[in-house]
Amino acid sequence: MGEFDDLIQDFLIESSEHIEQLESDLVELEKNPKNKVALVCIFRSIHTLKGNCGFLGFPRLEKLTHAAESLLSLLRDEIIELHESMITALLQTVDLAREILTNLEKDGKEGDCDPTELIATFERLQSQKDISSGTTKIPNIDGQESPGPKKKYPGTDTAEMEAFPESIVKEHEEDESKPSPSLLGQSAPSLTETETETFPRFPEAIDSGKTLPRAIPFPNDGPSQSLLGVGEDTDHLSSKDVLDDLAALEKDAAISAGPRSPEKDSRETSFLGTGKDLLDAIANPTQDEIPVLPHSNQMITSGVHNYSDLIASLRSAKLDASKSESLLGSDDDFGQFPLPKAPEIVPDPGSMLEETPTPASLSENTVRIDLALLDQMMNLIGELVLTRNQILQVAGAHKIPALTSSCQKLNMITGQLQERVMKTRMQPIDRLFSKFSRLVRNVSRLCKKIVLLELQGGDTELDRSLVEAIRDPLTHVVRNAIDHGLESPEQRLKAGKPREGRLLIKAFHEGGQVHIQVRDDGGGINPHKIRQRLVERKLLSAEDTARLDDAQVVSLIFMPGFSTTDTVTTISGRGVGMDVVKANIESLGGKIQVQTVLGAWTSFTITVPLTLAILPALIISSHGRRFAIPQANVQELIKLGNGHALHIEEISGSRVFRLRNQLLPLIDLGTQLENRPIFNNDETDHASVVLKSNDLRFGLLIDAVHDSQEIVVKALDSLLKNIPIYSAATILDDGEVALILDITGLAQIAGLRETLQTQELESAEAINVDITPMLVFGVGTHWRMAVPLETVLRLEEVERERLETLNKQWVIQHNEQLVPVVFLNEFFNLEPDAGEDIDQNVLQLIVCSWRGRHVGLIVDRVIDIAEEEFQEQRHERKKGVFGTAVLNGKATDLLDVKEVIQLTNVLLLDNPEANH
Amino acid sequence: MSSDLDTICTFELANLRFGMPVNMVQEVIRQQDVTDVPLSPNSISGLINLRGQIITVVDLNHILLPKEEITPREGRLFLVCAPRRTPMALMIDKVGDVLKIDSGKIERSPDNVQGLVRELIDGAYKTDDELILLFNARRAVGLILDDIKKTQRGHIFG
Repeated sequence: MGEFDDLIQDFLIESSEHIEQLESDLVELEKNPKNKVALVCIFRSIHTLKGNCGFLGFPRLEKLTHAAESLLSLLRDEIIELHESMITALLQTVDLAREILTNLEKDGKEGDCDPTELIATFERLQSQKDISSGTTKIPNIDGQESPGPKKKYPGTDTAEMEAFPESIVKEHEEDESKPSPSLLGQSAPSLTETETETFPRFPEAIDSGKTLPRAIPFPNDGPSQSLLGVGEDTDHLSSKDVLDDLAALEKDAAISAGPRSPEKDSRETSFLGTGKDLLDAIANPTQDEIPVLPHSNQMITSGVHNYSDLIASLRSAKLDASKSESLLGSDDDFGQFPLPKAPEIVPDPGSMLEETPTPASLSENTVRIDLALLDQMMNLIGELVLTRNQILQVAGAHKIPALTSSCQKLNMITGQLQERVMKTRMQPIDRLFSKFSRLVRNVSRLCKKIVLLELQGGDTELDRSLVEAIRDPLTHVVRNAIDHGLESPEQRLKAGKPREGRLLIKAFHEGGQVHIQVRDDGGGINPHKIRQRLVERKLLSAEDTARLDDAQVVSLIFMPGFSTTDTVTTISGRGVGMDVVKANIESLGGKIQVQTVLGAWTSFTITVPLTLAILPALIISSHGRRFAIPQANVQELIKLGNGHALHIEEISGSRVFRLRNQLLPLIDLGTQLENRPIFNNDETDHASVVLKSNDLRFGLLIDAVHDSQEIVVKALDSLLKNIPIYSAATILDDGEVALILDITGLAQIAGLRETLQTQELESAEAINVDITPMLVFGVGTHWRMAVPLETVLRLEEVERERLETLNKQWVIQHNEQLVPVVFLNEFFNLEPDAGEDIDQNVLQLIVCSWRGRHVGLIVDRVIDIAEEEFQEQRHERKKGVFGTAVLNGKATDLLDVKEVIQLTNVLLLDNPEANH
Repeated sequence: MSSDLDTICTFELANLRFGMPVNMVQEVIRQQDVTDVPLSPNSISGLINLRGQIITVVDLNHILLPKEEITPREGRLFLVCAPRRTPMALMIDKVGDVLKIDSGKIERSPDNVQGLVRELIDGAYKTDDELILLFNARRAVGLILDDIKKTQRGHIFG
């Protein structure tokens, strides 16, 4: 049974790859109905699927793929012509097959998908041949053209034959399956005859190997005459005509084959390669008859009898190459659009032979690895890092030179190893991009718009799990861009724009994050319409909307309850709103921004971290137990308590506190976790974290704040999945396990509801306006200064005794690390604040990070965190001061941490080794 | 009965002697730090770090024994087994010998084995001097899941 399960597992993996390939090939084929290569690929994929289903016994999928295959074989042999409805049916097949595969994965059964209707559609489409067969322009005489390149694999390369015995088996299977009774039953009698007569020739052709003349059927050959009686048409085509036409195409081929050759699809490339061989041979003046070259026999065959197809193939391949990543998701006249220029590389014709890659080359360089194995490797590396840290500490204490240098090496190697293993989890975003071709096709059709899709940065890598996680939000944004963003062709023409709308999806790395931009050149978002809508829906008052500037108003499309219906275009939105998109992206630790210019373009930028596996987190504790809170949820750290500026109030039994005039609910972590409150009514202050989840802000009462760390996220056992307060677990620096709190779950359990429009408004502002939160503190008796909050690692009150001196400078120990300390009042030659209420033995320490190293600043007071827009004003240089700004209504100098460090000559320490 | 049961690892838990096929047993460890998981049922003791992998520790004492007989003990042994994809650590009192047993002599659960223990075992095996209950780790997971459902009804949604 286990073996069978493995088989099914392999089948599922392989099939989903086929289905992905199918989807992009189908879209490609539609773009380019003459693209024989795509058609052949589609046929193969479907055929393999069918074969596997039959073998493993999945009747529904088998029947479905069988029906699709029958249609495809007619198309391939040009018995019938490709029609849009066929592509649609085939795409539906892909969807249904995917559904069946999902069901199979779930419970090993095909589920209740019903392919009958689709199969009927296929039968109906096939019967089309009755009409079209009479008018088929230049029919394929012997049916060999399309299987031609296929046959090349097993037939010509012995190395491949050894390497891929299955592929040969498959080829034979395929050949034998052609005349199978079930297929005949569905095909018309005239076709039946052709098929049975022609197809069995393949094994023969393969077997016969070099005996070329036998493999080239001439018009007078028996089988070809039986084909629909149109064989005579080709008689007037002399070889001379063929040669002329082919020679004329030579230049095209040279251009198209060039950029094409590095393409992934080696089948396609080899196809072109052989074509080129033929052209070279033809161009050779010594041969005025059909050249017989070992490499090109297949193409000669098709060239003679079906040269127009070859020309079409080459032409379409050239189009492919030049368009490469652009897609016209629209009517049949897309071919006329101006296309991006193909690189004008004319490679040396002679080199084409060598450039034909072997089909095996790609798979030889890559290995498929089970994700679980990668996770195990990650675990072990994590342990290795912990062990390394321990060794470094011991080595630092003992100061043995040989050991120290080995340790440094170990340090370096471990770091690199960790980085590389992290990299193995990365995948190019191309995986996701390839799906958008199909999406854009469907949506643009529905909206009756012409869309020119441009994909950039497909090689941008991000964590595999993220690729999946951003699929839905990104899909929504793309759909919106076509539906609401782009105008109809008529409107566009009226507005003086080209008929086809451009949609750019671009991914890139910046600042350790992945940015994905979806930009359309549509009508933009009209802020006035949004204002109207907000007032109509009673989401905001007219005065409120008037107060906001246009950019702020536009960002309110992310507001819950804001429907996109009717706002930007008349076509209504489908599915979830932008608020859900935003929530999804934020749950990944990312953000989404919108920029727009009315009448010109709209651009949505999604920013997500590179990986979900590593998370910056704040380590806190409740009754001595440590927990991690994702840094993305943490807004600020505050002290709450009676007698303190921020005190806890009680409103109808629930605790709240006032933070900068906003009333926030307060949750006691101790109460939530074990019904043992942390809160006690004495005079002491309580550490609290202000958290934000979606649009909900609240304070969380905790025991203590420990540290901020980058933690490796590890999934929780399914036994613990039902507890909504935890999202995952991690292993801390000391090897102990800590749970990661799920802030949304916590708020849910505590019974908080998302309320208050002002909060939503505030969050919307935060999205658009670039606000740098600043930590405001006092130096001396009344001087206000500030540093950007993002550079601040933690705030601490420390006893004076804890300071030590080292090399004539102050240091403080933290987590067994030494942090250099600067007294800012000494730096600025100011008297320390000697107010009565200040305990001279307790120092206010701000630990900042600068270039990855830590420096402690002793200030007299920590005042507040200012989260507002401010204008920075530079003034005459004062040492250690950057400029001035008005924060919280008061003039505040901005501290230049870098200069303070330079001027005080503090020795920055980054690890225990640097102590001496 | 399958031939898997030919070699079993014996252990004590809730005052009973159990045996588990050796190929199910990953290792037996003596672990110091277990991280509590507040809000989880009593049958889940917490989480441990086993060479970088986070493993859930389950304590069947809370399911098998009446409340008054459960006593907190220090220095527990954990038997790490993998009835599902992810391993779990089973808190045990004592680890015993590895025995070869004749799978033909496995008997149905004796009638005097009652309650949840009966749901936990595949059968019993009699040696010269003792009765070994054949522990089924998959069923143990089932029992814990039931316990979780009960706890959730009681604490979170109750």
